[in-house]
Formats: sequence, C-alpha cells, structure tokens
Amino acid sequence: MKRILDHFNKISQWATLVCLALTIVGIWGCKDETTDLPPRAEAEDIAEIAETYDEILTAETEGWVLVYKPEAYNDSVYIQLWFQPDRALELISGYRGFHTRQSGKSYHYEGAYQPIVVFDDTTVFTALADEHNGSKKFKINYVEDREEFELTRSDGYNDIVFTLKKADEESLRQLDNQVQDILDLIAWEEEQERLSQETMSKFRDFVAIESDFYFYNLTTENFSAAVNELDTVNRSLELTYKQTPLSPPSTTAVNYTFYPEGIIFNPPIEYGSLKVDTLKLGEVGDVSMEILSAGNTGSGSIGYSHEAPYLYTNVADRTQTAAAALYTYIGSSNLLYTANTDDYFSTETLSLRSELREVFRDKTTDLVDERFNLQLYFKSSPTSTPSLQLSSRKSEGGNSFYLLSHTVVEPVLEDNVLQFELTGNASSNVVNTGVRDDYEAFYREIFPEEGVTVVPYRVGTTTRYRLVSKKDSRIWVNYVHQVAAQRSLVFD
Amino acid sequence: MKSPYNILQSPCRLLVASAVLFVLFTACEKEDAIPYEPYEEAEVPTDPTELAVYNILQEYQSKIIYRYDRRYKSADAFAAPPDHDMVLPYINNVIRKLYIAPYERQKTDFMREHMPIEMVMFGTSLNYVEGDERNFSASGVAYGLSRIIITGVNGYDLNNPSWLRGQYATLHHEMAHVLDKIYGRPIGFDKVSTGLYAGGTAYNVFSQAEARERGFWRNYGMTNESEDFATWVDGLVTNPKEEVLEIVSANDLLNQKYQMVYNFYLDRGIDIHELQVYLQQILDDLEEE
Repeated sequence: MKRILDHFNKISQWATLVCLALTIVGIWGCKDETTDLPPRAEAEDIAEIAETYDEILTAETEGWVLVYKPEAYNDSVYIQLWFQPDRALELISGYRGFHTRQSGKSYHYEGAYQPIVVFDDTTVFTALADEHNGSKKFKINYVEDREEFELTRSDGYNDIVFTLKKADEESLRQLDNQVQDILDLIAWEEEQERLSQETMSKFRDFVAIESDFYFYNLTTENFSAAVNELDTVNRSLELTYKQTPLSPPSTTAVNYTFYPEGIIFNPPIEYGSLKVDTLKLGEVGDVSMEILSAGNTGSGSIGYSHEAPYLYTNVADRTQTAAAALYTYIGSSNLLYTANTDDYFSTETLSLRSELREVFRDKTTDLVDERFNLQLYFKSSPTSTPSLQLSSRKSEGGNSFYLLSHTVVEPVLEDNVLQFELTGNASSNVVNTGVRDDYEAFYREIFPEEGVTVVPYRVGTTTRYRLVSKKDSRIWVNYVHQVAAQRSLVFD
Repeated sequence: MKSPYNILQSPCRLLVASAVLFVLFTACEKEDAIPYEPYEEAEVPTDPTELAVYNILQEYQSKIIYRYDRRYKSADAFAAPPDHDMVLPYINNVIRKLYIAPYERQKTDFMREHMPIEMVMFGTSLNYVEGDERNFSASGVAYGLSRIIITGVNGYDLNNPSWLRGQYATLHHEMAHVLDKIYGRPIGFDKVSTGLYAGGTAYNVFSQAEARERGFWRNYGMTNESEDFATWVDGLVTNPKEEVLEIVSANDLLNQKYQMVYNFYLDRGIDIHELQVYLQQILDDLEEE
C-alpha cells in the first residue's frame, strides 16, 4: 500500500512539473508580439519654453519687429523690440508718445498651458490697450521653420495672429516712415499752434478796432452781411444779410471757434450754393480785417465800412430801393428836411455845419443859431429842378433860403444811392453874400460825388431817412419827409 | 520488469508530450503586433466658421456644436437650429468678446480651466410643449460642468443692446452653474433662504418684491439653490455696483448672499463688478456707434 502511495506521489510530482512547464511554455511561447510605442512625450514646462524663447529673442541684436493692429485703431503700429538679458526690454514704435526709443522696460511670462508674454505697464502696449482696445498680454508661440513668433492677445477677445519677426530692412523702413509721420505731425501741430496764437491775436486786434464809420459789415465777393453783434465772451456773431437784392433780410446768430487760420462758424451760413463755414483771416487794418476766404464766397473784409452791406428796399415792393422811393415824383412838398437840433447830424457833420454857420454868421445878418436847417428838394413838379436849400432865420424875421440846384443821377437809384450833380445854379443870396464857396464845399461834404446811401430808419411809427456819405460814412444827416405817405413807407 | 511506476509513466509521458505539442501548435501560434499609428492632428479647417470652432477648441478645450441634433434638448422642447451665417459672428463677438474675454482679462487661463466641454447652439429659445405643465421657454441650460446650451443665436444683432445684454446674462448665468458644479456653492449659501424657496409652488407666482424680501435676486432663483446662485450672478453682471449695493442693503438675506457670491468669484480671481463694467462698456460703445 505504501509503495502504491509512493508511486502516486511521484506521478503527482511529475505532473506538477509538467503543468509548470506547460504554463511556462504557454506564457512564453504564446506571448504576442508587442507594439513598439514611441516614448511618451513629456509636456515641456512653461518656464523652460519661456527660457528657450528668451534665448531666441535676445540673440537678435537688431531686435524684432511686431506689426500690431489693436481692435479699435485704424492702422497697424510697427513696434521694434530689443529683448535683453534678465527680461529687460527696449522698444520704439510708430505710435505717438512712444516714437522714441524707450529703455529700462521689461517683460515677463504668464500662463500654465501656453506661454503668455506680458509687456510692462509703461510701454506702448498699455497705451494701445487703454486707448484702442489692444492688449499688453499675448499668447506667444515660436514657429521654428519660419523663425518667427506668433502672438495672439491672451484674453481670447479675438484670435487674430500677429507676427513678431526679426527686424529687417523693410519692416524698419516702415517703422521709420511711421516715426517720421509722427515727427511731421508734431511739427505741423506746433506750426498750427503758432498760427492759432497768431490768429487769436489777430482777432483780438480786430475786435479792439474803434471807428466812427457808419457800417459794420462782413463782406466778400459773393456774400455781404451787417454784423449786428460780436460777442467775444460767448464767441458768437449776429449777422443780417440778404440772399438776393430782392430778398427780405435774414438775421442769424452763429457761434465761432478758432482754427489755426481763422474762425469756424457753427452752424455755417448756407443758402443756394453758397456756404460760409470758415473765415480765413488776413491782415488787420485800421478799420477792418482782411478775409482771405469765407467758405466758398470769396475774399473780402470784416469791420467798419462806408458801404451798406445790402440794399434797403421797400417791404411792399422789393424792387424799389429807398433812394428810388425818395426820387419818385409825388407832387408838391416833395422834400426832406432837418430841424435845427444836433440830433439830426452826425458828430462829423455837426463840425462841418458849425464851420459853415460861422461863415454865415460873418457874411450874413442871419440869426444862424436860431435856424440853420437843411431842406433837400426832389421834384415838386414834373419840370422842377431838385435842390438843396439851407434855411436860416432872418434878423428882421422870417427865413432865408440859400439854394443850390442839382440833378439826380438816376441809374444809381437802383443801388440805393442818391448821387447829385450841381447844375451851377444858385439862388441870388448865395451869390451875393459871398457864402457860395463855403456852402458848396459843405454841400460836397454831405453830398460827395460818390453819392449818399439812403438808410431808412424808424422813429416810433414813422420812417426817417439818414443820408450817409459814401465817401466818408462818418458824415450823415437825418431827414424827415414832408409828405406823410413817404413817412409811412417801410424799408429794410 | 517494469515497475508499476514505469508502467504508469509511459502513457503519462505520451499524454504530456501530446499536450505539449498541442499547446505549441495552438497557443504558440503568434499574432502580429498591432501596428502603431501615430495620432494625426486634425487638419486646420479652412472654412471660417469651422476654423473659429477649431480655435476655441484648441485654446479652451471647449467644443462649440452648432449642427442641429435633437438629442441636445429634451423631447418635449422645440428649438430651431442656428443659421449658419450667424454662427461665426456669434462666436467671434459674443462668445469671445462677451463671455471668454471678461474672465480672461482678469485671470489668465481662467476659461481654459473652467469653460464647459461643449457649448451647443440653438437658433431660438428652447420652447417647451405648450399645454405641458412645464410650458415655458428657456434661454439657456447648463448640464453639469460639461455642457451649456446657448439659445437665441438667430436673433444675433450687435445693434440691439437688449438682445446682447440678454445673451451675456444667460451665458454668465450658465457659467455660474458650471462653477457651482466644479466648486460647489459658497458654504452657507443654501441656508440663507432655507424654507423660503418656492418649493412646490411655481416661482412666478412671487413678485420681484417678494423674491427680494426672501433674499433672492429674482423670483426664478426661488426654483432651487442652484438657480438661486446663478440668478445672483446674472444680476451682478448686468447691474452696476452702486445699484447692486443699494438693492442688497434692503435686507440681511440679500446682503449675505451678495457677499458670498461676490467673494466666491473673487476667490477665483474674478471681480464680478469689473466684469459688469467691461460688459457695460461694450454695450455703451455699441450705442455710441
């Protein structure tokens, strides 16, 4: 029995060995061919990448050029960067304020997944970020085969790629152009500033002009307006003008601002094809300032003048000037007259009148202080001759009338001008008293050969007529019309 | 004479030999190694829309899905697919400028680490079946931290501040759900209004004033704690800080939640008021244009 058990044990041991062998054969013999996998790629640490980038960037002594266009800027800005050891940075750009080489700047990296280059706060990048929705932080990626970097703003605002390339001739030329443009612009602005100062000074000089000339106008080749008010505190002008000689007058207030060469109207005055939006100012004279151009209306002047800005016409009949209305034959008593008081005469005229009065005092017995009036006769009958009559008080009572006959130059009536020509006829008292020369000299002062402008004006509910010398507008006389119908006419 | 052992041994050897041969012929019939095929990067798309999707995926590991697939919505909801022409401008001007950039400007890599894995676009709202007790329209949905549903893409109009504001309010609301799932709501947030949620009642039976009294930014937040948190976020990104502070000064419940939500974001590098200022600036710029 024991032998049997021994044999059995031996067999069992043997079987165990066989099974073991089979297992080994199974494992080794049946092992499949394995796939050879490439070594697992280890992600490069961002810090290592950054150091590699630093090496590449600092190796270029001529630096790198980035052509960067911020979101809200119309142009691309050329930026040359010199990367230096310890992440120091020097840079120059084609953006104003940063167009000279800046040193002592720095950059660093951020980002856990991709290097993000961050330029420090005092560089052009911050200015572009703040002013034009740019960025100072960029995802940066080196493209080895092109030996250049790709930069994309890091905040994901967009995915536009900008290239940071080694500085080359073309990119530096573009940068130089941008820098030169900035320098030119600065020079231009300085010149404009100088011109602005000059213009403002010129305008101040103009405003300071004082004159007794009757009219105060803005007149150019194709535009003419009365300057009713010039408010230098609020920088506004009130102007009255006529679009055509037959138009009613328009009054408008415009504000003005200065530009280097003059002033800008806001709003501009516009009608038809005419536009006065700017006044380009010229030299300041004694009574006015030269206007080199006024919008598209040509050149002219602004200031005091002997000329009216536009024709004064009858509101009931725009074709009729005030001068024509006076000349029109209306029957007897067709005359204008003054009273003896000073308010009928301008200061200049009063002076002339006083001189003439002295002559009359010397050469006549008239009581010239009591009465020394003017009467301007138009035709009182179809055949009568117009005349100027000077009327003074006779010492024995009653009035003297000193008469100088004249004719009216009719064609200029449509220009609202009364232009007289002396006929050579005078009343006998003019000749006999020996006042004729002085009287005619006075006459030629108040009625110069150039004529007088008829300026109607209202007193209460009636119209009076001021005749203003076209030769010297400081000389004018106010008249009342003898005929009520003429006093009722309205002109503007 | 053969020993019994030997007698027994002979057939055994035969058997073993047969087994070995069998194993060698069968088990040792070797297969070829599986060939290694290196991973091929997908080609960079040339189609601008696909390229925009590709770039977002590369940069933020978030896939924008705009092709219609009914599985992205529940069976009882209707929604139209987005117009293809709207997808690219929506990605560039809404997702990038109003959703990604506000966070990234404040905290580098924030969106790389938090953007949902998928963003699915629909052209309209998700309109749930009329007559159903769920009858309502959803302007956005967040599925955990992995997917956000964007709706209303077909209404894309940068000149419509109301639409734009609605879009970014929804995006940041859904983003709040994502952050909620990643980090959990601020400790104690859920307890502030314990017992004051709508519960079985429809949230819209509560007025704004009632909701505020109970510590909610708006009544939709009364639905549950998650919506409570997310509605606070959309409230903070659409209202100036001064107005928010005035609103939360009305009661302690509001103030507590405001502090928690504000600090929740601040702890992650995001000042939610700065986020609002940035978004409002974009709206103002559009109105000026």
